[in-house]
Amino acid sequence: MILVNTETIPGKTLHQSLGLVSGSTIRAKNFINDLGAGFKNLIGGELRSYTELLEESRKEATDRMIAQAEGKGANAIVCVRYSTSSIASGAAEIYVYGTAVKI
Amino acid sequence: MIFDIIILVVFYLIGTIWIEDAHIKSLEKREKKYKDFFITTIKTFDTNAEKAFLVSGSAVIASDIFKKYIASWICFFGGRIQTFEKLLDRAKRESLVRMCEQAKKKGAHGIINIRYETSSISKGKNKKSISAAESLVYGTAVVLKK
Repeated sequence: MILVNTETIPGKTLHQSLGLVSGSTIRAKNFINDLGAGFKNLIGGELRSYTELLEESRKEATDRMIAQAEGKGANAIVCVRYSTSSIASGAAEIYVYGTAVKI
Repeated sequence: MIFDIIILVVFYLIGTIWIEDAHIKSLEKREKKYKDFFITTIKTFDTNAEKAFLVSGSAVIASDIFKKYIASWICFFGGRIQTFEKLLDRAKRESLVRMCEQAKKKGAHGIINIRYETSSISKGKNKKSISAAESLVYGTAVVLKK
């Protein structure tokens, strides 16, 4: 599965568009990580547990989108866009969408 | 009152002088490695490409007590909140460097159509909640034909 966020795939030609595919996930870290982040908030610096959280949820959302595209018989997704929002303190929503195509 | 000032000075020394300056120094060092790396927001790519794939980088950077305190006063009187500008700048640069690292590891020659996405993890309305800036940057890495 090829994922790009451009309209065309460099070096390939698109044959058929199969429509919109998307995936989303909402995840939260456990309370111990939240406590650690609260402490880190006093002195500043990177919150590694939250970076990890976002990376994991991004991967999961992308995997869901890929599964949907495979169900449609696509072998690439173009115009991939990510969007992030916070639902509650310590929870992150990741939404990813794109157009499934055949190359 | 004096106790408050001591706390602020301590957190200024730890948060801004120690952690922030060390981070900026490490960023400058790593950014030098990717000085010649081709990064653009242009969508199309004319040169012959062998393959393309999605790369992304993200970073969550927390603010400290001193920054929050300064920002709360500037919010009252108005003006530029330089302490937060620096914070977001750090998050953006860190995520860009991470994306470049990922692309280079996979053997890419450049990244096209990059997009930035920023969000705050928590609004920080009450004093206990976490205030941090999240930056996500993603783009299409391109490997050229030999």
